[in-house]
Amino acid sequence: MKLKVNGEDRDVDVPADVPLLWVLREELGLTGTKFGCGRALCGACTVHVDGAARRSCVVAVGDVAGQAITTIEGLGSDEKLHPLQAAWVEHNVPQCGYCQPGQLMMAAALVRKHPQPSDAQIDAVMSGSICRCGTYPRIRKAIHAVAGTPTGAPESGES
Amino acid sequence: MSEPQAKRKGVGRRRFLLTMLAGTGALVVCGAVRGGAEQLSRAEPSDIDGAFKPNAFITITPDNRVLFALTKAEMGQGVMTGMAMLVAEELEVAVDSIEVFFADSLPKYSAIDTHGTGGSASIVGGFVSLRQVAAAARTMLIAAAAQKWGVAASDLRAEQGRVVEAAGTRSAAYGELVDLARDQEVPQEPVIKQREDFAVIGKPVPRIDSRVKVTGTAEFGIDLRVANMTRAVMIHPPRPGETVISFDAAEAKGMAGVIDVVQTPRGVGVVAEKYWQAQRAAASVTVEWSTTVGDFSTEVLRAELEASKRANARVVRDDGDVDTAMSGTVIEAVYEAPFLAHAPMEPLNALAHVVDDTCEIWAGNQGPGLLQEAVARALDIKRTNVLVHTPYLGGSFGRRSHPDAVLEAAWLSKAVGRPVQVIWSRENDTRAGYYRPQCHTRMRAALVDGTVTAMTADAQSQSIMADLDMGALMPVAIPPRIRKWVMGNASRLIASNAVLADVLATEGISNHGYAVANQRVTYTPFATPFKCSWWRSVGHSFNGFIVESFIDELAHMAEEDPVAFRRGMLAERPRWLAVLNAVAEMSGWGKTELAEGTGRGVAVVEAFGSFAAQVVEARVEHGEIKVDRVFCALDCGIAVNPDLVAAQIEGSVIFGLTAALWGEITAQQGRVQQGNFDTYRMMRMHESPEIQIELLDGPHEPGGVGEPAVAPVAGALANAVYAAVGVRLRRMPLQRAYDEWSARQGTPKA
Ligand code: FES
Ligand code: FES
Repeated sequence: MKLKVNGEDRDVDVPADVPLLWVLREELGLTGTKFGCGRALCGACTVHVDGAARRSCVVAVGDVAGQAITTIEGLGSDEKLHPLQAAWVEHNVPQCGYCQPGQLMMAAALVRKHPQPSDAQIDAVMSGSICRCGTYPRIRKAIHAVAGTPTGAPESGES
Repeated sequence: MSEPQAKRKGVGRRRFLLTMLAGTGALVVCGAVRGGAEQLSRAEPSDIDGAFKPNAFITITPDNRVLFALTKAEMGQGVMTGMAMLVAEELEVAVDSIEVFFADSLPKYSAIDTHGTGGSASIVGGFVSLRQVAAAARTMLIAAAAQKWGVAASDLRAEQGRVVEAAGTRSAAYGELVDLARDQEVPQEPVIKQREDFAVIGKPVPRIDSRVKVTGTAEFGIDLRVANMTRAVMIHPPRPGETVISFDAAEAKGMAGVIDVVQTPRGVGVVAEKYWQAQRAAASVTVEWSTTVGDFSTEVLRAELEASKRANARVVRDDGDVDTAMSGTVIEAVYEAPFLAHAPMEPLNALAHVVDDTCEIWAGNQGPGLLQEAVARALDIKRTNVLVHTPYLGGSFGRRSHPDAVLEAAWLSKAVGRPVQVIWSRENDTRAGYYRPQCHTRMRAALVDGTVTAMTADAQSQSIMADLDMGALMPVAIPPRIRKWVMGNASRLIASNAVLADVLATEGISNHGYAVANQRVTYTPFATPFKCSWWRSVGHSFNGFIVESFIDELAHMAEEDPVAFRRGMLAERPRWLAVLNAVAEMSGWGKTELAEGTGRGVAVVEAFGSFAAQVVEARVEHGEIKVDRVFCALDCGIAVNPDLVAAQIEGSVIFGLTAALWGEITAQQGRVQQGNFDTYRMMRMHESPEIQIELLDGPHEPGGVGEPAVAPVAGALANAVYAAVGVRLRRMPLQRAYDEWSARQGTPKA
C-alpha cells in the first residue's frame, strides 16, 4: 500500500483495516503521534489528512492511502519550528508533553481555518484533546500569541 | 512521604563525601555487559574520553560540553529544568548549555538522596546536595587554573563556563582545564552560594525539554525500540486478584505475527511482532478465571463504613480532654471520597529483555530501585543483574512507582526469549488498581460562642502503606536480613493498625493548622481486593477536602465569614495566614460582588512543606457545576523557577478539579465500572477555569511544588457550591453528590 507521509512516498505492507496510528508508529517509526485511548476520545493521535485533523487511532490506513498525511514530525522541523511550536516553547506549555503533538496538530488545523480564533473557537476545537497535566491555560495563551501570524501555508506534500 | 528538611540535609552531606570516595569508573561497553560484571551496565552519554568527572553526576569535556546525569523522573513537573538550574547556579554555566541525560539504575548515582521521584521532594532534596556536587566541580576547575597560572585560587572566579582572573586579563574555558582539574583535591565541604548571590535560581528560565516535546522527538517509554523486539497485549483478570484457570489461544496462535500466548501470574500475555497484531489476536483468546473475589462492590463498602463500629481504630492524635469539651452545640458531618485511578496520558507500558540471569528494562518509572527489587524477586535473580533505563514519563502522578507492567514484560520476555514491550490499553490502565483509597471520615466539633472548643475526626480508609511493598522501598544499604523481615511483616503490622499507623491516611487531618484546644483523630484501615497507592498529594487529596469543608461548615454555624473564621483559628500560624490573606486579597473576597448565583469558596492547607490557599468561584447551571475562576496563593519557600511553579499550580488545580467534580472508580461484583475517557471523565479545555496565581516570596528553603496545590481545590469548590446554591456536598465526586441531592429534591436537571 502506498502512503504519502510528510511529503514522502512510503510503502507499507499491512492489512487495509489496521489503524493509521500503529502504521505510523510501528511500520514507519514515526513515534511522535501518540496512543492515549484508541477510541477517538483524547486527541493524542491527531494527524492531518489532506489538511484536516483526524484521530489516527480510528482511521483505517486503507482509507487514507494516497492522501497527504502530516504528522507532528512534518509540522515543523527542529531547525524551523512551526509558529505554534515556537509559541508552545515560548509559553512553557508542555509539562509531561505526551499530549502535545496531538494538541499542536489540532491547533494547527484550527489556526489555518481561523487565523485569529476567538476563545469560543479555541474551546470548540481544542476540547477534543485531553491534557492530563492541565496545560490548557497555556495552550490558549500560545494560540492567541500566534493569532494573525501566517500559519496557513500548505503543509509539505499536501495536495 | 516528606521528611524533615534538616535530616535530609544531613544525609545529603554525608553521602556527598561518599560519592567522592566511590570514584567514577563506569563500564564502557557496546550493549549491556552481562554476567561476571558487578553490575549490568551500558554505555552512557557521559562516557567521553579525557573528560573531567568530579563525581558521578557531572562531566566536563575538553571541548567544553557539560553533561549532567539526572536521577529524577521527568514526568511533567519540570524537574529536569529545575535540577539543571541548580547545577548551572553553582557551576556558572548557562542552563541551556547543559546536556541533561537520564541516569541508569547504577549504584554510583545513589549518592544524592534516593534514585526515586515522589513526595514533591526532588528540588527540596537536591537544593543543597546537588548544588554541592556542582560547587565541587567549580572549586576543582578554579584550583586547576590557579595551579596553571601560579596564582591563588582566591584571585580567580568562575563565570559563563570559564575561570577568570579577577585582576588580570587571563581566562580559560573549562574544557582547557579538565586535565589539571582531575588531579585537584575533592573539596570536603564545597562552598555553595548564599541566597543573595543567586543568578539563576528564582528566574523564570524556559523549560529545557520543551523543544523535543513540541517536535515529537521526546522519547517516552512507549516510543522506545530495541533490536528484535516484540509487542504484547495483556488480558488482565476482570476482577482484582483473579487468576487464570485455563485459556484457549488456538486461533490466536495461528494469526499473523503472533509469537506466543503466555500465562503470567497476572493474566495472559499475547506476544506478537507488532502491537496491532497482538491486539487482534488478543480479541480471539478466551480465558477461564478463578472466582475468588466474590461480589465486592463500592456501594456495599460505603454502607459498611457508615455502619462500622471502628473496633480497630487507633488514636493518632489526642490533645486536651475531648470528651469533656465535646458539649454545647455539637456539629457532626460525614465526608466521603472514592477510589481514583491516576490516568496518566501515556498508558502504562514497559520493555524488558531477559537474558539468562539478567534483565534489562526500559520503562517510565518513579523508582528504578523499586523495579530492580521487584524484578529480581520475580525472576529470582540478583538485584544488580537488573538494569533500568528511565525515559521521559507521559505523566505518572504516583502510578509509575508500581512495577506491575514491568513485571509483565519481564515474565513475557523470559517466556519468548526476546525483548517484549507490554503496552496497556486505556482500559487496562484504568482497571489495573493501585488506586487512591476510598475513604469515609466522621467529623465532630463543639462550638461555644463561635469558638471551636473540641474537634474529632474518625477516619476510615484503605491503607496505602499496608499495600506498599515496604521491602522494595528500603535503601539498598539495608542488610538483606532486615529487608526480608520488613517485607514479611511491615504490611501486616500496618494493616493490623495496632503497632504502626499509616501516617499517609491522616496527613492533613492530624496536623492541620487550626488552633483547637481539644482534639482527637483516629484512624481505622480496611482492605479491599484493590491495591491502593499514592495519588498526587496522597492523603491530602481527600483530607484537604474533609478538613476545609468542615471548617467551612463550622464558620457558617458560627455565622462568621469563612475567611475571617479561619484567620481567627490561624493566628499563631504566620505562613498559613499569609497565603490566606493573599488569596482573599487577590480574589476580592468580601469586596467585589459576584454575579447572582455564583459563589466563592476558600480553602487553605499545608502539604509537602508548602502552604497553599485557594478561592474558587463556582455556580450551578442546568444542574452542572461550573468553575469560572480559581485563585491560588502559594508559599513554597524559594521558588527555584517561578514560571514552572505556576505551571504546576495550574496543572494541580485542573487535576484536582477533575477529581473533585467527576473522578470515581467504582466496582460492582468486583468489576471496575470505568474504562476509557468516556466513563472516566477528564477536565477539558472548555471546562477549565481561569487561574490566577500569586507566589509568596519567603526566606524559607524550597518546599514541594508538584502536589500541594491539588489539596485545597476540592474543599474550596464544595464551599463555593454551598455559597452559590446553599447545598452542602460532602461526598466526592461533587457532581454525583449534587445529582443525588437534586434527585432527592425531585428537581430533575433542566
Ligand atoms: S488515541 Fe486516538 S483519540 Fe485517543
Ligand atoms: S502535557 Fe502531560 S498530558 Fe498534556
